[in-house]
Amino acid sequence: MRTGFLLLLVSCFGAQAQPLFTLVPGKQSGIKFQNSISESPGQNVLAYEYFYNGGGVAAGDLNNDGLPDLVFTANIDQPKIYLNKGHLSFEDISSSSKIKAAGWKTGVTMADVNADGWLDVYICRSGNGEEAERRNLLFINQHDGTFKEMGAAYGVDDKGQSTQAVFFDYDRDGDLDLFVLNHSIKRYRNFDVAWMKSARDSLAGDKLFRNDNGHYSDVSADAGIIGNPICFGLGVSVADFNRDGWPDMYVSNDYDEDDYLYINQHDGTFKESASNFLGHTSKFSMGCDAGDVNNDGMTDLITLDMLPEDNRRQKLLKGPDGYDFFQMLISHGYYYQYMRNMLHVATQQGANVEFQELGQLAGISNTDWSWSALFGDYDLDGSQDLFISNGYMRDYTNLDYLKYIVPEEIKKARAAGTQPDLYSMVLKMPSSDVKNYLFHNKGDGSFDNTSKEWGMDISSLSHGAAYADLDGDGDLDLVVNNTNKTAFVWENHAETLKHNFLKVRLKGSGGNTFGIGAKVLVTAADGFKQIQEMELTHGFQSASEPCLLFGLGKRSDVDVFVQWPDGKKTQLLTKVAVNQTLVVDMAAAQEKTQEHSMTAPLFTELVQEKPVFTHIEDDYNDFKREPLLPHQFSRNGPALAAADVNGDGLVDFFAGGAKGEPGGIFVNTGDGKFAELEQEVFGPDASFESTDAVFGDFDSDGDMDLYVMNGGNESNFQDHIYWNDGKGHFSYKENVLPETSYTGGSVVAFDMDGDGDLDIFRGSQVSTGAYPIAPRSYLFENDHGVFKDVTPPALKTPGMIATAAVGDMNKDGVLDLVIAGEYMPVTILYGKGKAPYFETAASKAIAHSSGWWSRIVITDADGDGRPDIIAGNHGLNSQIKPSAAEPVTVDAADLDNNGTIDAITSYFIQGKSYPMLSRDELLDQLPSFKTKFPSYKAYADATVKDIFNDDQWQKATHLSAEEFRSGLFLNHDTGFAFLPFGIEAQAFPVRDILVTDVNHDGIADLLLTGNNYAVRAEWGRYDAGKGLVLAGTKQHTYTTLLNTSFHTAKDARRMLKTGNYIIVGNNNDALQFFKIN
Amino acid sequence: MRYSFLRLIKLLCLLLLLNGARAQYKDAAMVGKCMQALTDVMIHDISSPLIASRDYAYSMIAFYEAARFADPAYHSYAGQLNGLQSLPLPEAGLKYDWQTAGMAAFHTVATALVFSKDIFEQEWIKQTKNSNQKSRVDIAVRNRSEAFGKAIGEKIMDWAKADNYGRTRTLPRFTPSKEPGTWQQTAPDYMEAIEPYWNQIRPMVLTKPDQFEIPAPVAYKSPAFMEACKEVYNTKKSLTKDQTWIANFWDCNPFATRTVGHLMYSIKKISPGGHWMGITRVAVTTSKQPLVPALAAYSMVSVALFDAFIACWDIKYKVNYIRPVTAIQTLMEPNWDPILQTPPFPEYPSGHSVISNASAVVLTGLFGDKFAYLDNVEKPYGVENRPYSSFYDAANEAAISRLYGGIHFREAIDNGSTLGRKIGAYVFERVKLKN
Repeated sequence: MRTGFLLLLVSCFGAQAQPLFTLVPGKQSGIKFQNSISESPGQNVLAYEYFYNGGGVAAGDLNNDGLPDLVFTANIDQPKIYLNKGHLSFEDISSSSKIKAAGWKTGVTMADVNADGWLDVYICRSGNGEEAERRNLLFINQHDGTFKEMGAAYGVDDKGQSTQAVFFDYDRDGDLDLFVLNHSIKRYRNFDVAWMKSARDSLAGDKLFRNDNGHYSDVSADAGIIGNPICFGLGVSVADFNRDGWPDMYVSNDYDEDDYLYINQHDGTFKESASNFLGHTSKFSMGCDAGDVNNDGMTDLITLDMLPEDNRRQKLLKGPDGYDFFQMLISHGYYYQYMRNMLHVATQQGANVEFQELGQLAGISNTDWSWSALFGDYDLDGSQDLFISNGYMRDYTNLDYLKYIVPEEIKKARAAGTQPDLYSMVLKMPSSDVKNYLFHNKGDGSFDNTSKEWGMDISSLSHGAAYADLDGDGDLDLVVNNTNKTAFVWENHAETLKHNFLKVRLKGSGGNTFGIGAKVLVTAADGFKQIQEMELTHGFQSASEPCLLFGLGKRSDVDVFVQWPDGKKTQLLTKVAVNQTLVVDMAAAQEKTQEHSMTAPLFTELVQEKPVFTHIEDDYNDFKREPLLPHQFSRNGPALAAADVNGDGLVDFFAGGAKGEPGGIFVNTGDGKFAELEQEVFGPDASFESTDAVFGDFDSDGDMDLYVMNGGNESNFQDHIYWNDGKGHFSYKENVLPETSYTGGSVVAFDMDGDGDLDIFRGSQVSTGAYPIAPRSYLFENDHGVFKDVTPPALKTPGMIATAAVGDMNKDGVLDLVIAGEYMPVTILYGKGKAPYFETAASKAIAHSSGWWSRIVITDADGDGRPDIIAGNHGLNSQIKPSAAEPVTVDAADLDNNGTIDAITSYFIQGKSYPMLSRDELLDQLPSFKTKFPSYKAYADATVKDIFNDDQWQKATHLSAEEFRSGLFLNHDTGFAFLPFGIEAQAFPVRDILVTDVNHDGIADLLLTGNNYAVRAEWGRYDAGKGLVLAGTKQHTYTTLLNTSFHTAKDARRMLKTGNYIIVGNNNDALQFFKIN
Repeated sequence: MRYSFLRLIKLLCLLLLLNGARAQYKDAAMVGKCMQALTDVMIHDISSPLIASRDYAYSMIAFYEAARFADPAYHSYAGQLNGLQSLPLPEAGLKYDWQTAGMAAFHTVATALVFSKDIFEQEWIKQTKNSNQKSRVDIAVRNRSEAFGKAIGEKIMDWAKADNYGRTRTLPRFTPSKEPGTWQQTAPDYMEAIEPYWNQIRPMVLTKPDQFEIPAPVAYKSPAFMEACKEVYNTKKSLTKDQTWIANFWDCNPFATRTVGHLMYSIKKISPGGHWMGITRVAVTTSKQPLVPALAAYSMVSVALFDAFIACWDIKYKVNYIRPVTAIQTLMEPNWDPILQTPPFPEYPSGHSVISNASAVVLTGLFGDKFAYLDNVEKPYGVENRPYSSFYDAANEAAISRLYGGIHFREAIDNGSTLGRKIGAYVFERVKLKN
């Protein structure tokens, strides 16, 4: 009846009539629970660190009637137990259930601990009270609607300050063990972590309990569990992250302490291995969840943090960038942690799994103070969507509060002769009631924010959350535990979308009756593939029911493969009917080893006994001189260039060093091996930082000479030419090259005037100390080995050039120059062949192509005889995602008349452009602006126009960029058409592109490498580049090849091909060598 | 000894009626109030001790220069301070109100220097609203006096602008060294080092920042260094109640953060220079100085502070010495914390020791070496008043307070005190304001 009514609405009014979710009123559901928090002088955040973290909720069928029931925890009040009576109505059995809990309650989870087929309830406690009221509680189901507390009897009454627990079989012995996530209640601000990390704190440290015949014992120390006093555990997810068949664990920690990725060692121990799998993590990590977001059959991971989406709240909480402070944490052994949600997407490289962090690309990185993350296919379209709960009762991140409001209150109190009362100040802190987020997965692992369209448009302080098909209609309803507000019961109306679904329940065996830890892979004929793992603890302090729900869209029959948690038994069910609850029984499973069809990878990385060349970056830090930069320009090496320097027919190479390290010539000795050919000439030039180089016979004597471009954004920008004696020995001559006095961006050698010798274009990248003023670039004409500066006006200051390439773009027989860089469009300068060689009038800036480009390569990608442009850009895995309507801009002028350029970068946040800088950062550069922005609030809504006055604005340099995607510019008669690459290629700054046929199909493929580690501490390193192979197709489009073993996961800058080998130059790291198989 | 503000005012009003010299004393009290407005805005803005010393010096010199004509025995600073040439003179034969002129000069300079100009204006109005200028001075005289004061203030600002402060704002931020034994950012906030180029600020009296030298501190990890660490460590262990009070009394940290549970907030205090300006206020008030001698005291102390900071900062960044907290955590006890929050700049020498002694020399020169007083400067910042038998008594205590607080080694205190005395003596000898 209800369904019919809804369909009618949909047909009459379209999708707007009925959002996907509607709130079921408490009157109807009978759920009146709320987590009531009242502050008092003795009970507030001053007394207990995690006073406002909220309660949890667990869903599960407690009375085995087929309907999921609910248990809510309240921090102060008693837990509430609701029996599901069907049709979204519930009966409160709290008082008869005998589930009672004094003290400060936190997480709740369910598990069949005694393996009697009935779910038991485990409740965690924390707080600053008595130990007896802090011990965790296990309520054993008595099968009659009542429960008996037996925590001590089972040995699971941990006395720590607990957040949540998870039951799982880590040793695969067939019963459920227990991990308890704990937190400290004291903050340490001390970086001598050696003693602290290895310490064990029985209250703050996490614990692992092993189940031996129904009794649990604490095996934390022996099992490798970190239990130190700086643990601030706020989230735990169990999954087989490395795909070896054993359950691993991710633990999110608040504050400075690193998150842990515990990899199961198969011997009863875990090894914390985050740095082997993840490039970086969330900083103030909160909830986390595991799930397959991109339907590749691999389990991915999300961790939540507290970065707000809107500019105003960002500006109120952001202080200085703290680059030094960040480096200090790193040097003290902490990992790379940044304040935002992280989406770690699993990729396979050979036998190894690693994760690319794609949260910003996916569009889910900024969701404010966030607690529960729940992956679930809420619209049943076949991909996992994402729910995030958030909110915080007292917003003490507000810097005005820290710096001005509290001190003002203290001053007032003292003036009145009274003691300052911190508690009254706590009460003045604003509450941040924010809206929960619901993101729709677009099918490729990226998301749209559909919170509003899907009905979640209510402000609240939401913490714990669970999904369950409460009304049994085949979709995931959501239950949310709110502070000082009635719990949300969101009814899901996905049934109206006519999408198919499959629910899977597991009947396990022995001590694991619900098959916890089993992996279920659903596949369909169209290539659909999604994995879900049976784990109950999901969401902050919460748990979901032991039932997996797969949305299938229009797919109508699927195969279901179950890998049981013992790691041995599997079963495959084919042609399974949809829209049903499938119960899979382990008794029917067979022991079968999974077959792995391993095809030989495309590449083999060569193991170097001793690195052939290691680039060692010097310590220069651009931010010290120019704190307003978005990233550094001093870390662009190594230079790489290839040529046969000794005439033996094999291609050798040059690698350039950073300041303080000379470059070297490496001679090809065959089989991908190279030996350095000692050169006296490079030593004296070690004070130069070489960031690009090109070989050419500049004196027309039949051997390859070397032009080395210098950069580094500090000093010593003079380029050098080294002359080859024909045997690969190089020497230096004075006065052959004019002065180059700006940091180099790119150098190309080409015969611009058809006189048979090689001329030089040297594009400069940045004006040191005066970003973003265009530096002077250079065109040098070769006159018998002596170069003259013939730079025409068109090439003097065309912009901040990062890359240049040469090709006959208009097929007139004269070489043309293509340049691009930061805030530059891809620009073609059509050559004249004679002075002035290039003219502004004969140049073409491709419309809408202004970006942050770092590489262009010219090749005929579509085989039409016209050279096309392949271009590497900043990508979209970034806080900045510009478009024509919402460009990223930099406006620069000397705003305080002190002789230095002040460059204000702005980008769009929620439809409006705001400065990138926090108030502290702005005032660090422009102290006099304290007058204009006396508080954080005064700056919170400021735009760049509020920083400049009219006169300054008129005289300022204004640059903008609107395209951050990497892709292909196809050269048509009529102009260039931009074909951006797929999403995989937008995940990282592409620093180099190599065109070659790697899969031997006769069509050129593309190798893409990149990343950038030299970025503001707030944004953090771009490290999602792991080496990407795009296979060319006959339709001149590209498809991503997976598992190629072209694994370039460092801060890559350049690639070279010599014969069948690829050399990759990494900043501040060793060269890598790959053989094309 | 403690007067309530209102009682003081009432008393002063009464005295004013009785005696013209008493009026001068009230004028002097107004100087203290003007300075308070400046102090309050600097505290709000969390101005560093360096910037505070600069704000005080130029503002106080401006006040003095515009008001000194009230007592013909007093001379100008012009020609006595580096780069300060002639200043405008009042028109002969015309009537001026010198307090009004001085206040206008002070207001002009302070407004130009402080960051939160609106807050300064609020504080200014609050502090000066009981001024009786309006009733006692006719409008023409008032306007003339204000115009004169403003002209002085603008000239002082021209002079201030040439002291290289602006250029030092454009220089690269300080990078901590990786050498063992050098300064590192310190808990709890790990702030970047402030004002690494303060030695490029033009001194007022000193010919150059390194005019006076002190020995280099002992080598890191040497036996003497280990002893110094132990002394800081043991001092904290056996700290008496009185020593704790002393440490807090001279803390003078413009910005310290406190964390209670999950809540972080800041405690703001007067800067070390501000404390000595406050002591000057106590001295001129208790000794009932008339306007011009009072201004001479304020301004000369501010000049000594200004130069003392420059000389001190020159050595701090040249030596780049490790703080006790870093050394003790590295060499002795990983989780050791000092009583006070360590300020964000290198250790050697102790700035408070340098500037307190420089100030004490000047104050002793003006008020004598037996000037006993009750220091009530820290009362608004939550620390009880302390009595002192002389300015040197106070300076010595300010210096040793850094050992009690666990933020300096004794060597930095002793040698810093020596440096401060030399600078103070040099300033007092060079600057002659009265025949």
